[in-house]
This record gives sequence, structure tokens and C-alpha cells, in this order.
Amino acid sequence: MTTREASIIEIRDSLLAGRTKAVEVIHEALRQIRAVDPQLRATSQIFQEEALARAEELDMKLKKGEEPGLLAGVPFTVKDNICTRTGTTTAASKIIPTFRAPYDATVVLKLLAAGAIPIAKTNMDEFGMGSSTENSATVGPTRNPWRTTHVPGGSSGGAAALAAATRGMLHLGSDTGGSIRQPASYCGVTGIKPSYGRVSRYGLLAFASSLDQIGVLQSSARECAAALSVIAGRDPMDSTSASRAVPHYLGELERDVRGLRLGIPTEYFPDAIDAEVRARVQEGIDVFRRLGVETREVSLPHTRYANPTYVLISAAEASSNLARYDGVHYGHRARNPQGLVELYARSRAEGFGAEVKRRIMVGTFVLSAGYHEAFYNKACKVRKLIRQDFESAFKEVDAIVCPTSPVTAFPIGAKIDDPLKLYAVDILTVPANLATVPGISFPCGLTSEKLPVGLQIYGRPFEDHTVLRLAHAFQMTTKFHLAAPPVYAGS
Amino acid sequence: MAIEVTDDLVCHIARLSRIAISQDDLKELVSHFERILAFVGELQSLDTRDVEPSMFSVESTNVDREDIVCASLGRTESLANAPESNGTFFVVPRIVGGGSEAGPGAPVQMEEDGAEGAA
Amino acid sequence: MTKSKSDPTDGTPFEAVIGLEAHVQLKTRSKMFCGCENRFGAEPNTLVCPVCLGHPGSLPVVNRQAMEWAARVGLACGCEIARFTKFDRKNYYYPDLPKGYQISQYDLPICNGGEVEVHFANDSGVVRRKIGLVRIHLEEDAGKNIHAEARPESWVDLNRAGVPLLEIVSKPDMHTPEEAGAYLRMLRLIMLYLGVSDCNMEEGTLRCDVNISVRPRGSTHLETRTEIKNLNSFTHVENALQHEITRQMKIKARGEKIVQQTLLFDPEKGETRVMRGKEEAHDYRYFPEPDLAPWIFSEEWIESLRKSLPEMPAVRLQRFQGALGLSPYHADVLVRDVVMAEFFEEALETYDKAQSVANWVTNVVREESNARGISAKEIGISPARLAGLVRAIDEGKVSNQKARDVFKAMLGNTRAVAEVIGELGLEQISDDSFIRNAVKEVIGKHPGPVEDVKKGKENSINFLVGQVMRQSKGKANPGIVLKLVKEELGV
Repeated sequence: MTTREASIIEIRDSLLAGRTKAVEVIHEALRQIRAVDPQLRATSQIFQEEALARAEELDMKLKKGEEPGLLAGVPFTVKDNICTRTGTTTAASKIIPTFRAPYDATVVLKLLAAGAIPIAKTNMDEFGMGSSTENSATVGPTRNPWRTTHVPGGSSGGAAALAAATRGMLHLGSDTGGSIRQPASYCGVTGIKPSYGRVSRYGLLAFASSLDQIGVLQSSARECAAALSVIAGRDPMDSTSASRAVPHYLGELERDVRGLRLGIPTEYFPDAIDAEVRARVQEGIDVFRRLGVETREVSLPHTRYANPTYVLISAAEASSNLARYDGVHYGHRARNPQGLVELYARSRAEGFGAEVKRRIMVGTFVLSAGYHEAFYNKACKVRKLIRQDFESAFKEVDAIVCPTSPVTAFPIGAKIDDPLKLYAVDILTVPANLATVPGISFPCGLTSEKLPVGLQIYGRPFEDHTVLRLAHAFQMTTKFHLAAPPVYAGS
Repeated sequence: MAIEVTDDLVCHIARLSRIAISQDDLKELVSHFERILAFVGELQSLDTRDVEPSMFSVESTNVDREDIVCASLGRTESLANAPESNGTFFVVPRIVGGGSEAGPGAPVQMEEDGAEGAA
Repeated sequence: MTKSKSDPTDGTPFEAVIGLEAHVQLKTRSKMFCGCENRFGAEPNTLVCPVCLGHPGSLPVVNRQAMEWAARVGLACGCEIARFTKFDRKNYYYPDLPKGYQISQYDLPICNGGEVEVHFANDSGVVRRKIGLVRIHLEEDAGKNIHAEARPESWVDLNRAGVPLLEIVSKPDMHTPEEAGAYLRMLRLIMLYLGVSDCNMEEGTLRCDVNISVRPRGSTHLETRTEIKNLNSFTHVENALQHEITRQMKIKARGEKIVQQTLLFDPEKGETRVMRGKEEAHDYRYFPEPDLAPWIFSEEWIESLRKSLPEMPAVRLQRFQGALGLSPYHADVLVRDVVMAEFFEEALETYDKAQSVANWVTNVVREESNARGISAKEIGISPARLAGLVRAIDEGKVSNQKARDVFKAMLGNTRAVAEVIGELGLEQISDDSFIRNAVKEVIGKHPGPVEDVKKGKENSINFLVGQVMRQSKGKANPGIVLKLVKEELGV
């Protein structure tokens, strides 16, 4: 089994020490992507020329002795629902197949300012709606590097597949109900959904504004911490971004986890959990016990209501957020519409995929007159109860541990015809979004089928550093995160 | 609340959503709506009478900006992604039945059957 | 004062019930939720950015000035200011609405209740009335749809999209077109006094929709109403109301029912036509805007805003009539023009004979500024110098008539009144012996009129006075001339 060692943290040091040049780093990253992409279909665009030009510019700066940023020379990929001036931003949808954003998302600007170099955009489920990256209208399904007949999870499936199959890159994803953590779990990488408001959403194509959050998918918690220290923080362009100080994430990693209290919620281990997933997660919890972490059972009694609540709230917000794709100001317009109504209705019918249309219509329904109270308002009330569950639990424990997904990666096509079956794999990830808490998923072993299992840790709001610290401590005594999949171009 | 998912209901929602649907779509959507309603039906059993709904995820209040003018996009860039423009304006099929300038509070609701000329 | 319009319900068994929904654009420097300039008349689609274009990924941020001004307007109208308020999304499709929703306020507007005191003249004298308000809320304006002349298409300009817009909803407290007109004029005046809007109906910074129903006089029941949209001048509001009230009375007189509908007023034909039928098509699917934080007005903030309010028109009117003793006419004219009222008050600091100053400001100063289409402050004479001129008249140094020439000569320079009078040779002659000589000369020249006077023909005195004035080139003090003519003729 190949192991992965080079990390994004060492790239800057290598550049500074003159051991390598930014252009070489980019060439290597491009080589890796090109080596695996034909099998995985993980990217939607590759920015070869632009990335090399930026690398040359960076090399000139270094030559002149200018101070490079924290992530100087680090190649990064951008999920295709995050705006970049370079190339197009399509959210894997035919409704905006050629949209060129006139601005860079705040996360992209922050990474650029830190010296990182955008190298590709990654495939996803259309508008983030899906858990398998099969719902990509532009690229088609992405494949899992552990088994290419299987899905990588979703919606940040392109980022997860690349994070598993390459090394030395940063991958931006987004998570509305598990879209970073679930694919991280299926691809055997580390993915963090930060606390709501920790990372600016400006430039992220909204799916459900009160749940969406940008995060990263990496090979280790340490890489996640390095990435988060650059992208976190208040953004005047995003009213929902938090003004709280950003902790020193890399420094926090080094603190001992002994004595931390880890809660095991009984509700997160239902019968529906795959036996092997349950076993790997239990073994993972034992690793924490050996590290001196105190474990105890906690209860999050409203867990079973989380998924229906999520389905209603995310659909309601999506129905409004996606109203702007109407064929008037940008994006796809139907040919020869007979009047305005037809322009709208046909442009949207032709441009959106089936799952997106279903969710828009469900969302329109739950907000519409006569049903608003029974569905939308009801869901907002249940969200309150779910948040209260977490507040109570976090009085007793510092973090919560559970599986990321009840199952491992499944074969492409297995669930695509049944939306509700697909929704069911989100049950363990959606509560973090509803409760605005940070969640991290990292590998805790493989099944007998050689498919990765993800362990998930939730923390208190804005204690992203605690979930990173626990994951890091785990990775310091285990080697699961170093395992490379069969499709791997890292060395 | 018991809801009967009828063709009319789904057609109404599709019109509100501005999404054209075929007869086949309609059948599939009726079945999807029925399943979704069953799926979320679990919430109805929960007593939430005294629960304040959680409307916001942002923890702060009064997040604002100073009244300062920033640079706008140039017209070329503003219209760059337009499916149809004449170099000055976004162009749409003639808006009928609404008179001129329906400002906020005065949107001209399109006729439900799509025959906007009828208004 | 507002010219009285005939009340179409006069002498009928009916009473009209009228409510107004006014939209007032705030003249903040930048738009409501982005930094684009808020300016009328720019080249189409040049004052736009990703936020007001509704581009994917963009997010709104509240303009603090607009929030404060909304609260100021509320305080000036005696509204209750919400301690907790929020924005909501109003979802509908229209080409001038790029996001597919308007950020508005639904159940928690910034201002609740309140009233506007209006006064207007009708046949029975000056009427004062208090018109109740339901609410005032803040929202974003939409862009503009323009109908192409020779082509089957419409054009969209988004410069106006996102301009802060106050919606002021009155109670159905008005019963005649002139009441409605007076109310709207008073709203405009309040905005001008607060300096928050130009309320220019031609430029659309003040727009109005009206609701009308007609009921038997004495009834308190609210009957089926119609709504007239697209009213863009005060006259249109009054004319449309007259037309609609008459139309409804005719229908009721026939024993038929009013159909609830939305109408458009055609100012050229003076008619209304149906824009849409009953409101069943509306379903705005309001829900709280998840991209914005809620808003809290603290007690201290509200108090400081309240203290910073200028004197409002109704209070000023009372002061001008009461403390300053102005005639109702002069007080009204001054109060209706903010700049003229300020000019007047500044002039009083130099010369405190209020009625004398008011006469001059409301006649000569007003004529000059109207003729040149500029404000009183711009005509080229300071309030202090004007006050000096009025004092010179009152002290008999220049005749009221000749003072107009002095006024003209004082425009556009800084010369003192006395200097100008001297230079023009317009000093009034009040010297008795000089005037007596002239009187004697005139009496000698006109024996006929002298005889007439002695026979009791009063008019002939005026003739003789006129001759003396002529001979003195208008400089003689007419009062003294009259006195001496009478003395010399012994009448």
C-alpha cells in the first residue's frame, strides 16, 4: 500500500528553502490530475496555463525575496459551485453551462492572497443536490478511486476523489447536509464542514443559505487546519460570517486530548447502520479511549426528525435561491419562447436536472399559501429542538462521535432512481448543518470490500479547533489516513 | 395535516415554480410528492406548540455596512452573461398585460395558464 | 393651499373609503444591499454589480443609513419602532427582479402604527385631519422594464434594482380625493424635512398605489375594493380617485356588485383599465431572508434618533401662525417649501418683523426662484440682505414698489441695501417741504381735478397723488404725498 506524505504545509517550506519551484509544484499537480482524471472524471475544468503563469509569477517573487503567503505555491481545486474569475462556474448544471463569474469568491481571494494557485474545478452533484456525484449534468458521474464502479459520495465528490487519488493539493468543497463529510468518508479522506459563519459564503452558489458552508477535503486533519487558518474569518461581503477571532488552528492541534469528553449519541447507531461501519467506528472510538479521551453516552433525542427537517428547510430555501436562474439575466434560455411565462418555464425545465426540479417544487410547496405553517414553520420549530439537543449535550461533553454515513460507497446507479433512498444516507450528517456546529469526517479503516469507513466528530459552534485536534490526535496514532486507493497518482 | 396530492396541486406548484412539466413528469411528481409527504409526516406527531422557530443560523444582529459607494461593473461585464442583450439592455420577449413599470409591490402576476396576453 | 377638488360623493348617499400605499426611494449614496451608486438617470445597466444583478453566489449587506432613515421617518410619523426587526424574501418572477425574489419585510416591519397630520382648504375652510398609518417597511426597489417601440420585446435596466425603498401603508382613513392628495403631499413634505428623499414623482422617487371602496354614508363596513397602480403624479392620484369613486357609485346605484381587481390609470384618457383580476394568483411565499442577520434597535438608539429629528411641518405651521403671528396663507406657503422656510427663518435673525419678511419671501423671493427654476437659496441674495431690504421698506427708506428694483440690483453681489438704493437714486423722499412744493405745483396745473375733489370725488385725490409721484420720479413717500394733498385742499 502506497502512503502519502507530502502535504500542503511542506510546499511553502520547500519553496523557501529552494528545494523546489512553484512551477514544478504545479507541473506535478497537473501530472497527478491528468493521471487519474480519465478514470475518475473528478474535474470539470483544468486551469493549466493560468496556473503555470501564476506559478512563474510566484517564482519571480520568491527570487526577489518577497514574503510568500502561508500557502505559497499550494495548488488548489475549487468545487464548481464556487465562483472563480478564471474559467466558468456551472454548479454542474445546464442552466448556467457557460457562466463566467465577474468576481472571485472570498475563499478564492483569501487563498490567492496566501499564495495558493487555482488549478482545477471539481465535479459535483448539480447545485449540491445529491450524495453521489451522479447528478452532474455537465461532467457525468465521478468515480470512487477505491473502486471505480462505485460513487465517491457527494455532492463534493470530485474534490473527495481527487483528494484521495492525489497529494499535495488543497480542495475546496461545500456542505449543506453532508456534502463534504460524506464523500470524505466514502473516499477515505479528511473533510471538515466548519461552523456556520466560520468561512465566508460570498461566491458560493447558494443551495440552502442557512445550512451551506464552505470547507476543505484533505489527506489529514493537519492539512485541514492549515487550510482553515487561511480561509476562515469575517467577510464584510457575507452578513452571516462570524466576527469571532480565528483560533490558531495548527497550534491548537498540538494540545493533548487527554481528559476531553467525547459523547456517543445512542441515536446515531440505529439498526440501519452497516455492521462493518459500526465495527470500524467502535474500533475508532477505542482509539480515542486509549488516547485518554473520556467517552460517555449522550442523547440527542430529536435526531430522527433531523432528516425530514433538513429536507423541508433545504428545499424551501433552494426554491427561492434557484429562482434567479430564469433565463433572463444569465444562463440558459429556451429557444423561441412564446412570451415571458413560457421563457421562464421552459428555460428552467430544460436547464435544471430532475432532482433539482423536484427539490425546487417541494420547496415551493412547503412555502406556499396553506402549507407554509404546517411544513416550513414546523420544520423551523423542529430545528430549534435539534439545536437544543446539541446545546444540552455539549454541556456534558466537549465533542460528539458517530459514523459519518450509515453505509460505505455504493455502486453507481444503485440509488439514483430512488431519491428517498439517497436522502437516507444523509441522516448522520444533516444535524450538523441544522445545528450550525462543526463536523469533521476522517477514515477509521476499511471494510472487507476494501472500502473506507468514515468517523465523524461534532464540536460546539466555533470549536472547529477541537474537532480538528481530536482528528489529528487520532491520525497521529493511526495510519488509516495514509492509505492510498488503487487509483492513486501521488508518487 | 392530511394532504391529497392531486394533479392540480402539482400543476399549481409547477406553475408557481415556473417549471414546465410533461404528463410523464406529472405522474412521477405526484408519486414523489406523496412519498416526500409521508417521509416528513413524522414531524407532525411532534408537539411544537411552545417552540420558537429557529429562523436564523447567523448568531449576530445588526450586521451592516456604511453608506459608501463602491465601483460597479462596466456595462460590458454586466451584460456579458446575458442570453440576449442589445448592448445596453437585457432583452426579453415583450411584456404584455402589465402596463409599464411594475415596481415592487406591483408585480404583474402572470396568468396561471401562461396565456399572459389575456391579462 | 391645495386647490379644492369637487368631491364626487357630494350630494350622494355614498361615502368613499381610500387607503394609500406610497413607495418612497431613499436618497442614500449607495444602494440598499450593495455599494453601487444610488443615482437617477445614469446610462442603463452601469450602476450594477454582482449583488444587484442577482448573480450566483452574491450576498446582500444592509446599508445602515437606510435603516436609520427608515426609523427616522417612523419617528417623525409617531410610529412605534420595532425593537426587533428582520428582512424577508418576497418570491415572484419578473424581468426587473433579477433574484426572483425581492428582499422586503413581512411580519416585523421597522415601523408600526403612527399618523400623518394633513391640512387642506375646501369650501368650508381649512380642514385638519389625522390619517392613520398601518406600517412602514424597508425593501429594495426593482429595476425598470422598458417596452421597445418597434420590436416585440422589452428591455431591462437594473440601475434601479436594489435602491432602498420605503413602503408606507396608510389606514383606509381618507374619504375624498383631496384628502388623499393632501396626505400624499404631506408625506412628501415630511421626507423633504427629514432630508431622506427627494420624492420626485417624475423621477419615480415617490410612487403610489391607492385602494378604493364606496359604501353607504354612515356605514362602518369595509366593502369590496379596487386597487389602482402606477400613479405617478399628485394630480393623477386625485383624478384617478375621482374617476374610480364615480365609477363605483354608478355600479352601486344600479344595485350591482364591485369586482375586486387591480386597475391601471390612463392619465390621458382619465380612465382606469383592468390590469388583473382577483388576487388569487398571488402567492409570494414569504420567509425570513437567511442571508441577513436580524436587526435590533436599542432604546438608546431610538432616543438619539428621536432627539435628532428636525421640526416637522405640522409643528412649524403652528409656530409660524402662533408665535410668529403669520397669516394662515403665508404660514402655509412657507411650510410647504423647506428651503424657503429656512430662508425666511434666517432672514428673521436680521429683522424680526415676521409678517413683513414673510410677505417678501413668499412674493418676490418665490417669484424669482420659480421664474429661474432654482431654490430660494440659489437666487443670489442672502437672507440677511433681504431682511435689510425689508427693514428699509418698513423704515420708509425706499418705497415698496421701488424696492423691487433694489432687490434685482442686489442679486448676485454682496452690496449693502443702502448702497444699492443710493446708487440707483431710489431713496424715498419723505421731506415735507420738498413734497409740499411739488404738491402745490401739481394743484396749480390741474384745476379740474382739484374742483372734483372739492365736490367730493375721492378718485381725483388719487389722480393728484399720482401726478406728484410722477413728478418726483416715484421717490416721494406716497403716504406723505397723500397727507399733504389732503392738507392743501383742506379735505
